[in-house]
Amino acid sequence: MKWTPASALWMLPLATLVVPTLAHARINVGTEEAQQRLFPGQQLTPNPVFLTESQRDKMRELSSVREPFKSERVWRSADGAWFIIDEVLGKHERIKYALAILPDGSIKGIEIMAYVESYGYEVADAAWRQQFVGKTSVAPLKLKQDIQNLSGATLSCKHLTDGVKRLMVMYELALKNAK
Amino acid sequence: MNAMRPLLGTYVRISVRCAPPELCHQAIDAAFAAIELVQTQMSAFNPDSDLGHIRRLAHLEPVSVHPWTQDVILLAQALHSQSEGLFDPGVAPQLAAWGLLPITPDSLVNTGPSSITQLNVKDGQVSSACPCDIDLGGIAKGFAVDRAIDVLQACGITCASVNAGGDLRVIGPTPEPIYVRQPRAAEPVFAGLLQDGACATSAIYYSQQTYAGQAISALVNPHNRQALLCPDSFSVIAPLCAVADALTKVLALTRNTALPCFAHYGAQPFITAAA
Repeated sequence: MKWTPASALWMLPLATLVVPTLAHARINVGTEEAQQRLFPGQQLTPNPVFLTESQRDKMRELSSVREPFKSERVWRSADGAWFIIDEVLGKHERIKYALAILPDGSIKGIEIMAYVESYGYEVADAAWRQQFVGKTSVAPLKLKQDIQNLSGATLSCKHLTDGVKRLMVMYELALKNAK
Repeated sequence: MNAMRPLLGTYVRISVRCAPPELCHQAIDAAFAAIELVQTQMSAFNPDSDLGHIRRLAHLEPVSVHPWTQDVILLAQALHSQSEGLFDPGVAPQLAAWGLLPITPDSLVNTGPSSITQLNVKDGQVSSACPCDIDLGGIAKGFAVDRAIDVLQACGITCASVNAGGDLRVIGPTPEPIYVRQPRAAEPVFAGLLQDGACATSAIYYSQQTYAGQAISALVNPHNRQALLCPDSFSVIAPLCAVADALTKVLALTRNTALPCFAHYGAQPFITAAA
């Protein structure tokens, strides 16, 4: 192990020490890569799902996730498994993730595709959310720097759990009996 | 190649470099499997885990545990001893009372304070003379990071990082910049360059809340069962992430960077003041 504290690095150019921006991407994985991770070697076919207003209401009610689900982000494998992309916006983080559901309805896996987090728990919640207003996905955000090694107290994955819950509700309501 | 999954109640990111894509994929999957195993065996939220069995049964009969569970308990006991009791997973009853952990099993209600020292561990068997309620949340994340690094290395990976919700370890020939979240600030702080080592941080910014009108957090002093309410951030650099993880609690409770336990483990503590 070799540790050189910042205080001993006074010769470094200042630019390397300054970390601008409010939001930082901690991971960025494309759709194809996520599909390959969850369904290695398998072909997935786009399978948009039409949700009725009452189905959407039910999803909101049972999961407490408010953001609308994007119907076109559903794929299916030849053997009837599902690959779904969704996003959740938490108090400190915005997460785009992929959920794989096996033909029997059990969860095969979850991969985080994009993870952007706010800094400073007291940085106004409103300011954090404001930067996403009108954005359709995490990608269009301008992220100046990807910090690889960030140490801090643990952020719970509760918001993601809520998101997965609503997709499982959607599965029950709209996908389970799809032909 | 980077991948992130929800594990250990947080987000775990594995980054692997300097290897062909196929090897990266295999190594990352194997490393996540190791973390999942730690989660399965050491989660307080799973009654069927090794930890669940210990909490419910260890005072009645010896409980067989996975070798890693034995390792983590032995390490926790050593850390307890080196820190003069300031690191103790026996704070679980207090966390459960505040709703930060699942309800304590019936057998443990009103049994008084618990301590990791109550457990007898030998040959994969754990027993206890009296009911013992422990939570490995203060060390298991770091331990999982170490197991993931072991697996990556066994797969032939030489250059990688594993970060479990802020407890991280890096391996490779190049020093890596380490940033620490500064409480109340909009920017993380550049803390230094780390090569082949771990960094863990504890702070109350995500866990502080109010319970029955009382301010609480997940950082509890084992000696007086009081919650830490100081807003600063407490980091420890150490060769192993499990050690770094556990020692952050000792640093948070004492604010003393000169304690002998840090030197004993080759650890370097530092405090990041809230902005």
